[in-house]
Amino acid sequence: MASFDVLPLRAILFQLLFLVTAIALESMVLRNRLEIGRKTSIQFAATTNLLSTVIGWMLFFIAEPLLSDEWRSQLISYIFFDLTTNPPLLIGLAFVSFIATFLVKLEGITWLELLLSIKKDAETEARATAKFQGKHGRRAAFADVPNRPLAVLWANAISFSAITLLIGVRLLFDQALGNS
Amino acid sequence: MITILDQIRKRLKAPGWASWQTFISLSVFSVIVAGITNSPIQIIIANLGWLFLVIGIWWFTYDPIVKKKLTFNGLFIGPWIVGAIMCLWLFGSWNGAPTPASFISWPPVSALIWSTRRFIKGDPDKKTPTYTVPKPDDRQDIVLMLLSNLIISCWFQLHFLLQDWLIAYPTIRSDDFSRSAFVVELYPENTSNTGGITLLNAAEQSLKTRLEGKPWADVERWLSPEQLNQEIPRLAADAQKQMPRSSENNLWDLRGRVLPDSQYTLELQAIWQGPSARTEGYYITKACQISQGRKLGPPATVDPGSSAPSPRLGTVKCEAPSQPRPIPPQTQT
Repeated sequence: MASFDVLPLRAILFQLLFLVTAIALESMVLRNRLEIGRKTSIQFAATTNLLSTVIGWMLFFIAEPLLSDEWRSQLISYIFFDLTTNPPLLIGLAFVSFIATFLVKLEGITWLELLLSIKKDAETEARATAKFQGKHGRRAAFADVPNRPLAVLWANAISFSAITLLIGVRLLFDQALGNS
Repeated sequence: MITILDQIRKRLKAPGWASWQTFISLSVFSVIVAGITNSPIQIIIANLGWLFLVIGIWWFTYDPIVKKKLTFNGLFIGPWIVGAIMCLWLFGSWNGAPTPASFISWPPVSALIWSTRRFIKGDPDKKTPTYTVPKPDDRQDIVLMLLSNLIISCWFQLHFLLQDWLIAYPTIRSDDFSRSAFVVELYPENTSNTGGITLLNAAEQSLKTRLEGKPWADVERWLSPEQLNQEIPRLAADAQKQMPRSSENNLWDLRGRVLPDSQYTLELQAIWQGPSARTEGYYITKACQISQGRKLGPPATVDPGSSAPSPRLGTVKCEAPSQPRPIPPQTQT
């Protein structure tokens, strides 16, 4: 029978916070760099972030049973007691997940375009903006396709930095509370 | 209350055969029939009952009045109700209690139910529903709904993973989770450190079988430093055998030493080497007085009559286990 004594509520709250932050920031970056509409940019950012989160969780649940006792013990220390016994591993994992989320997001946007048959819309939108703001629009018109990986990379970098910052703020708060 | 009952009665009476009430009644009827039949037919009928229940509830939630009541902030929660019943049916245990699988499958199944309407188009000519490819906006909604529900089901999965860990390593339950960035402990009580206490009690038992009632000279030899270094590992192995099987057993280390300047106070230490809020780890001790039977002379010692004539026998008397203490650097060899 399931027991509901120890709940991962903090993990859920942090995840929601990180998702909202990432979607907000990334949609802004994508809108500026890809010259797409507000709605499309939010669609891209939301879908890709949710997708990479789901894939990340799946990988975690696939990998967890394969861990050795020693590593599982470290994972438990990290999750229950916030003890980072192996900082290099953590940094390495963050780096790998940065690359992985970048690739997932880049592919995800392509899949989403296929699924929504959005290609035409984005182009017309870009042309529409070109009419209003000539300079930006012209640049977008022929820099649209090659620009995209760079734009997604920027978006990913900015959202990861923001999340890192949030984690840092939390650690600072924790230490301040712990010392007092 | 009465008005609600009246409403229910009115709604139960009203329609013709093609209605959700029919399916609910069919489901109730199936339950009754399943109750009086035997195994192979019973399973079929019970499953039919669940099927009728799902269809009935599904239909019921799309009743315009009910649908309006179940819509909060523009989100219609009917699919999650139908999804819950469906997952109970597919993954629940036989008495209907939800299992981890039913929790984990609930959000994505509900999202699929939610999206079915977007694949169905009312045919204006024949008035029958036909399959349709959803509009692009609907496709976006379906993708977002599916992905966000998959994340929710990952949270359920995480919850059950944490429960598995707490069962596999019961000792961490007694520790302090307040620093965790992941979990919240709803009732943070001072749960006693069961693993260590069980080990120490088991060690006490083994110690008593070894020393109690043995000639005092043997007891003293057992307690001499060289002999003790060999005996403690054997004692630990014995105690480990008495522990209930659990994957955390090899994370408990048992050590023992005779306290200096004592006529044999044996201190048993259970050292926790698994995950803990205390970085250096901690240990629990149990002090055992080992003395000659006659001098101690408590009335409740083990053998009152039979071995009374022989005076120099070992007796073991142990205190209750201590509170967990952090390991000082020099003890950790």
